[in-house]
Amino acid sequence: MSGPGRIAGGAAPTLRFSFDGAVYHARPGDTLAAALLANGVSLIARSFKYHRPRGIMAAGVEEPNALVTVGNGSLTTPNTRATDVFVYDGLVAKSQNRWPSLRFDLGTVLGLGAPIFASGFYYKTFFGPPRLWMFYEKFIRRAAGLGKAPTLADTDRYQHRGAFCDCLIVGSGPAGLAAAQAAAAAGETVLLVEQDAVLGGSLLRDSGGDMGSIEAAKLAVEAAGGRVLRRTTASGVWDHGLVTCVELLAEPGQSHNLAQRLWHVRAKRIVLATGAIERPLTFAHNDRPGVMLSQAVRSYVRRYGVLPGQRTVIVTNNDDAYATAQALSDAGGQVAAIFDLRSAPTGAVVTAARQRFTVLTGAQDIMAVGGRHGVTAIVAHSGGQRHRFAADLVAMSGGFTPVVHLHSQGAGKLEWRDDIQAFVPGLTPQNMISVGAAAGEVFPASEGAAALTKPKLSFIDFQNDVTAADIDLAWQEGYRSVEHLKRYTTLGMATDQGKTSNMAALGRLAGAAGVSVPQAGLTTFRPPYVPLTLGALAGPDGSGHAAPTRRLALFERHQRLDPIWQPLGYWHRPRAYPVGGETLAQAALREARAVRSAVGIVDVSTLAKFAVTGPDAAAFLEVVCATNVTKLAIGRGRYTFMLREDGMVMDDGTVWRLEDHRYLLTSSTGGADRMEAHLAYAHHVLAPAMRVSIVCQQEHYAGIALAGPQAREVLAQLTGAEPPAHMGVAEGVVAGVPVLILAASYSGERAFEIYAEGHSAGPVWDALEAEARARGGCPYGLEALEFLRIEKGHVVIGGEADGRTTAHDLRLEKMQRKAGGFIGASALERPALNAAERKQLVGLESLGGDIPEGAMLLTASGTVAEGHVTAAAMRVVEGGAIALALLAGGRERSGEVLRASSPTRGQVVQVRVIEPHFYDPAGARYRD
Amino acid sequence: MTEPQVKISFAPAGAIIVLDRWDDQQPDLQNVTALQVEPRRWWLIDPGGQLAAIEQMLGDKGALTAIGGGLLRATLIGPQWRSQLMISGLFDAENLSFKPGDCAATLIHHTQVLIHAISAREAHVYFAASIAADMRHLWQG
Repeated sequence: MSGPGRIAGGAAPTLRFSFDGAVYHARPGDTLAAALLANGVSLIARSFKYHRPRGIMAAGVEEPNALVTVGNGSLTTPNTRATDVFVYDGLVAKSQNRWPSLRFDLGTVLGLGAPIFASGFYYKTFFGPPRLWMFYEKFIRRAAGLGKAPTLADTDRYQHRGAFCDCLIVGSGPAGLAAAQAAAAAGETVLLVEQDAVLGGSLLRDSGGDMGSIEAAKLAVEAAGGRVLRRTTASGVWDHGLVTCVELLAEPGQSHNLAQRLWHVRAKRIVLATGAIERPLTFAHNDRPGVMLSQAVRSYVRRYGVLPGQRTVIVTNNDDAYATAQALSDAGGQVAAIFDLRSAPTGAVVTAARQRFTVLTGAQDIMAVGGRHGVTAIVAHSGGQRHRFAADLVAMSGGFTPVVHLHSQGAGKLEWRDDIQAFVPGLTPQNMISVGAAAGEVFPASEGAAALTKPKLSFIDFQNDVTAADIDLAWQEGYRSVEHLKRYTTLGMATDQGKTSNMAALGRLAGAAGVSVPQAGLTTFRPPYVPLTLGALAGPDGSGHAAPTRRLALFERHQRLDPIWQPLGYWHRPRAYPVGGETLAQAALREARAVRSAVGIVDVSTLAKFAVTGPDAAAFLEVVCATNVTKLAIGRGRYTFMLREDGMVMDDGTVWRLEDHRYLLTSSTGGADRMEAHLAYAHHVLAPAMRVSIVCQQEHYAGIALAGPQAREVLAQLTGAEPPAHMGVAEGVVAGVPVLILAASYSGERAFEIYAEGHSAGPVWDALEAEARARGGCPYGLEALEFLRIEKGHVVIGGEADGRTTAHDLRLEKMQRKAGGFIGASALERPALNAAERKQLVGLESLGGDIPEGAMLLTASGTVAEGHVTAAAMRVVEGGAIALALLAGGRERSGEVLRASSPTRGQVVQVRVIEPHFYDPAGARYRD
Repeated sequence: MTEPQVKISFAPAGAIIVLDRWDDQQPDLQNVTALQVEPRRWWLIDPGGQLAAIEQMLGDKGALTAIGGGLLRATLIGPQWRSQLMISGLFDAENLSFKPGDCAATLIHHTQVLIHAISAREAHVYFAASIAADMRHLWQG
């Protein structure tokens, strides 16, 4: 008998699962790796590049080889470590990166070409014009890779959650448990997180530990008001004690109401009890199935009741692996020999082992011998002799690397320890300590391996098929920085991020360079510590844009009309209301024509609105607004704009004097949050002594603009009163709802903005819509609004006012307050802001077809762009393409003919520069 | 870990009035629910008939501005309301020093909210009506 299998006795395997279609059974608590080994399955995967057969190397998240796809359909999770998924009833797992089957994979022919697929193979081979690379890429991606990403939408649900604690403890091994008990005893609220499904860490693997400490620590933490989270991995340490942890509420591929929770933990102090990762040894064919890490072997034996092989050879450079020999022997396994790389190991462990096992020291020239799918023997030289032992399992130990990832992510320094041949945590700016194995409390290990006889078959990074020869070659080709070497060879990339390979690679690089490991350098540890799903990062809005969607107060009214919705920042607004199969353009043109000829209504609720109240309200507004405010009569309003401190236009809107000391300031939708912050800055920083209150009322009022030649009649009909004159204010009642009426026009027609409290605005919309339709009008959306404002020549924030334009550039300078005193006034005196060649607002009319938005404005083909089209439309009634643009020295270039060229759209059209007012430039249509 | 079970209902916030003072005096607000949300700003919750008296008391030392038309009030009932507010939340609502009567202006689910602790079993959360659908989705699935 050979190969892995279950140790007799123990719980019954009651869970049913499948791997590559074959059905097996597992015990509750088994990882998929443990269950597969228990069922005699040791070939799990094919390697990334050469499609070499791979088994299970580890027993934790560091596993580089045994990657599988778990689950079906929308629950499919590729690249799942078999060592990090616990079997549940019905689990479906499939091997990856093989065709047609795992045992017979045609991709193995790539392995035959391994000698030429060395470091930088792609860079050296697939060069040439970019289009050729696009051709190569299809084949390369098919030949090499990990699992396939699912194509169905993820149906799992995710949650983000905050948590605060006095002490966050990461890891529940002996050191973590001790830290938890101590913290709880000191009265701290503790959050103890453990990535495993059970607490205990190495206590579950090694005999002689205090198993009672597990429950004692848990009870102590909970009694002190703390919390213990299992299956929770601290994936990132950020500034100021913020730690992100991912809690798995369901195993990969498992259906569950809530799949994962991302914790945002803010801890006053952090204890990292993250343990250490055992390092593989580098020797020929060390990647064969059946070659495992020594501590992993012990875990399978002691925790899972699985014997990973019947006859084992142990290869080590430290004392810890001797405990594995003991564990195997105790479980009924046969230990053929222990190869110790150290020439003269001493100590009680070794001495005791010599009584039971064959111990061969000073081992070198090690090679794992095997067939296609597993190891069958191991060969090594020791004491000047060649030794060969038949074996189906090799337990290797190359020493231990403290898990310093989180410490390093938190800006902690690292220090080198020669005795353990690893980096340990050093100084950190955070209130964070590492304890136990993470702090370097591990067995000493001997320095580096002897020269390799087969470096091309001696793997260092198992996941990326990087061999010792690849690192040697990279060095020979001039890659001196470890960061460059990483990217050239792909060492330390992909799902395991080099957890098992980095130190061996550094050792190899240092050897080639003739320097010490710390001199060779170290790549950067970045979050996340383990792979995270994008769903966990996106949180509950995984199917959206990971941010709120703001709905209009009148959302239901619009939805009844089945509009085309337009995202606008977080807001969603109707873009148009097509009827009878209209396209967007057709609908928008119909709606815009209704406004020009009859009447239309549009939802303007999203405009920013600020109540500015107090004896100094006018004075404050003159700090913020670049136009006159103090001369405004009660019941009147005017257009205004605001500048940044550098003199550029940041926003525009209207200001209305409602009462003696009460004003309403409106500004753009997109700039609402920015304007709120700007007003707060102006008040609290620039004018703290002013007696003024500034309150955002953006959502307090829902707003409906009523525009068109019949707008006045519609409003008079609904209010029973004469509407205010242009730029006048009135209060009224529409459909029984009190409203504030502002007579302002954006469309170029007689128009009113009608504001009602958000919760009661529905009847107002209904009444306006009914009256508008009765007069041949209709609701209109953003697209029609755009047509109308372009034709009128009104600028929009973000379009023409793009953060680089002054009031003069936008032809607004006549409204600017001559006396100054407003934010940005002093900056306007800079010569550069008054240069004649500045880009200035112009109108364009087409001499050909449509004018492409964003097009460059050229005097001739091939010349430097002198401006660009900011917004394009057509004349609403007469037809013909028009546009607004910013053009260098544009105010003096009327009549000039230019080329509007859009290479991305493949369009070029001749345009004539004209004044940027295409419709009723005198404003006669909106004045009574 | 079991998720908190909290009964959540949503309703228009009603009359919410912002009281701003431009001196550093504390207004006399004994007969109205007032939440201090900034050093010189309070929210008056449903002040009803008290508003005229408050306005008179305020004189030219401050201003009153209505904002309730755009706000919703979520009422969370159940002893686990603190845990509920940690979901997509940034404020330590689980800290018992945040006691009934206290309020906290913070973010939940990327959005500004005002949490008002009512009792050990109840809290109110005020937020913009425009994000009501997202908040329902967040809390009620």
